Amino acid sequence: MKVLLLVLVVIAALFAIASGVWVAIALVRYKAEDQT
Amino acid sequence: MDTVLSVAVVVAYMVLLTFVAMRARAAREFAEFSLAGRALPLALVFGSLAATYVGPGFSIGFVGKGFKSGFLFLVIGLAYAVQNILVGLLLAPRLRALKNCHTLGDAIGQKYDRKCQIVAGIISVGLCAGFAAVMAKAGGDVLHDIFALPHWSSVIIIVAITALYTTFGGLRASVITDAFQFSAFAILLPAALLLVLGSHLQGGAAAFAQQASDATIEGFSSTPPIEIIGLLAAFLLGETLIPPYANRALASRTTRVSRNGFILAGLFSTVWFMVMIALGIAARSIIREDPGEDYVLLNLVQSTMPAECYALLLVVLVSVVMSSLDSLLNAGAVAFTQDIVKPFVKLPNSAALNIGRASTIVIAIIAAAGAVAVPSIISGLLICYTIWAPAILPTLIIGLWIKRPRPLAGILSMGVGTVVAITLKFIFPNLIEIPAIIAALASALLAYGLGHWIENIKSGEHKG
Repeated sequence: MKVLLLVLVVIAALFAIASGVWVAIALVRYKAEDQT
Repeated sequence: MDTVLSVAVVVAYMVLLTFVAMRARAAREFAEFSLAGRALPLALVFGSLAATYVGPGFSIGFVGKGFKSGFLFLVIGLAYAVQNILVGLLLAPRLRALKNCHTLGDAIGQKYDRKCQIVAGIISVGLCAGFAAVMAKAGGDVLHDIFALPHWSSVIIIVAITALYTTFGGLRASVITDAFQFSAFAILLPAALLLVLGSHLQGGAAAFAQQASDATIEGFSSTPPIEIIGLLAAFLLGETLIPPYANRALASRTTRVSRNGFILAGLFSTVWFMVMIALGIAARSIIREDPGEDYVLLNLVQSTMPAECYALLLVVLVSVVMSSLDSLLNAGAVAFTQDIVKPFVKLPNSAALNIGRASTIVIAIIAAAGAVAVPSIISGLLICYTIWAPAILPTLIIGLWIKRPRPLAGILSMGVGTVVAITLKFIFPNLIEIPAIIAALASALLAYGLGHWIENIKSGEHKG
């Protein structure tokens, strides 16, 4: 149970980082589309 | 040396951000300035929404809340996630489906009449200026801590840089910089949490769980139930479809993108609150003395990481402030042009664009001047929440859902909601036990019902 809480927190942190990476990739694509 | 490094990193970041914003090319027509050509993809709608709502309250503030009251604010934060998901399911697609709609005021104008649009526009501009003043104060606080400049000049620097790229690039520049800033803080702050958990957590998972349990019990026992209800109401309703969010719903590529953007933003908020609160809980076993809620994050990073990481944290804090501020400046300017000026004067496209740009600068000046009057970040936000929900939500939500909304109902609801909220918040703050936002919302709903009933009777007499 105690480990579960820590695991949930780590998963949340990884999910947030993945969201940041996803938006960064989308931003690069959007800028590339915008300039063509 | 540390100060020199911090200043260098923050200045470099601001130069980079201004470069990114300038590359977003200046808006050439009002539709670009206000809605970025209605072509935003899902990731940018989501990133920009999240960057706008993650301000100083949802970052520095939530870490402090985690330190003091554990997961109490995760429970309260769930109301915020529910709000975003409900907006995504019920309101955003309907808003996006409206034709020639640039603002919330426009939507209200299409559903009711022009008078309602103007009233909604005045409320929108006032609230955007109020929220922007809170963000300007928060930005001033951060820059004041880094550069040790007088507070007023720190406020001017942060507002001036934000106003510069928002004025020229409009919503497109705002969304692009938001996405850039979102990526910065969504990667760096969770990475800081993983680093703290991996290298500095004494006692491992058991100690973390014990600190979480102690803090959460303390939080629930020291917060009266009526205060929890007030906070839940504020998180559920206070930021619902405020002008910058509505602009992103309207600027989405399709109704589906609009819906999914809000749903994802709602889900992300829960994840984000969990990360921020976990940082606060982890800080309990690292920082022995209570540094004050607003300083937990800064103290934690200072005591666990090298100077380079502290400088990066300052960049993150500048990001969270600027990404909220630019959205508010743009939304206020668009509402002023579309809802207050356009109903009176027929404007050619270039004139509308120029008025939008000029009003961005005026709202920025008002925000910088108003920053002095903001008591604290959280109390400033709560004042804005208390006024926004009763002033606009009944009129907007009912208007989007019923077939023939009555203009008198809209005007009465917006007027009564605003007056009751301001009266209970500023003039008689101790008049009633229940939170002002709930009382003002109930008054606005009653006024709406009354207006609807009166106009129904009138139209019945005409037919008779």
